[in-house]
Amino acid sequence: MNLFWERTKSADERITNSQNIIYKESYNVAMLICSISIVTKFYIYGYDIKFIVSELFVILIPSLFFAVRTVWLGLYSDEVEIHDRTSKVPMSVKGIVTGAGFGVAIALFFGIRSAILYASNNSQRVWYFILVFCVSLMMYCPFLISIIAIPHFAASKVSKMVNSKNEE
Amino acid sequence: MKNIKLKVARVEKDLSQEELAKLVGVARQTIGLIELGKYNPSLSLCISICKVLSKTLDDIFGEE
Repeated sequence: MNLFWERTKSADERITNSQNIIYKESYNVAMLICSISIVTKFYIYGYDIKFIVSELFVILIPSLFFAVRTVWLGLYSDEVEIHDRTSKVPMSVKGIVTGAGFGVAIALFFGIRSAILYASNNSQRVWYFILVFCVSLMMYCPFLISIIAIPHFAASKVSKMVNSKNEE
Repeated sequence: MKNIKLKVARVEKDLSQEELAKLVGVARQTIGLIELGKYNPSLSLCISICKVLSKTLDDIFGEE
């Protein structure tokens, strides 16, 4: 299933497999260079997103392309199947726990920050921390869980549909 | 071309595609695509399948 309409010419499979490994490594090198460039630009020019737009494009668009192609070829559900077979925790649960974990971390950060910056005594600190922590948790946890879980379930569903079409 | 021999050998052992896939260490879809003739397995995968099904390479992947 060739996306770029290359002429299929006969090729040695060992060479093709070795080239694919090299392409994967080249992609990782490009991602690493972009990441180093982002850090360097932030250090030199300060934290402004306009300086790193090109690096963000280079990182995000091939990653998005990879994700869409993986789903479109029906590989995503197979990856989930292999992962769930070998892991104690299913991938869906890991995604939900990751989202919840990030939500708790962000809520803790905001809670502690509010307690330190805005409170004048210990009881106020405790109250501000609890208040901001609970509200941030209620806001960020569902949001982060849904942005991880919903794409995962949608991708699994589409991938399974593609697989069942392939088997017809 | 469909690999009927693989399907027959799998059914003889009373294995579903999923069970065979689990024993071999691949996804169920991979077994399905090999049986449909839509995927060419590597030699090591062929050998793994033959070991699980207690057949030789020629029995399953030989020319009909």
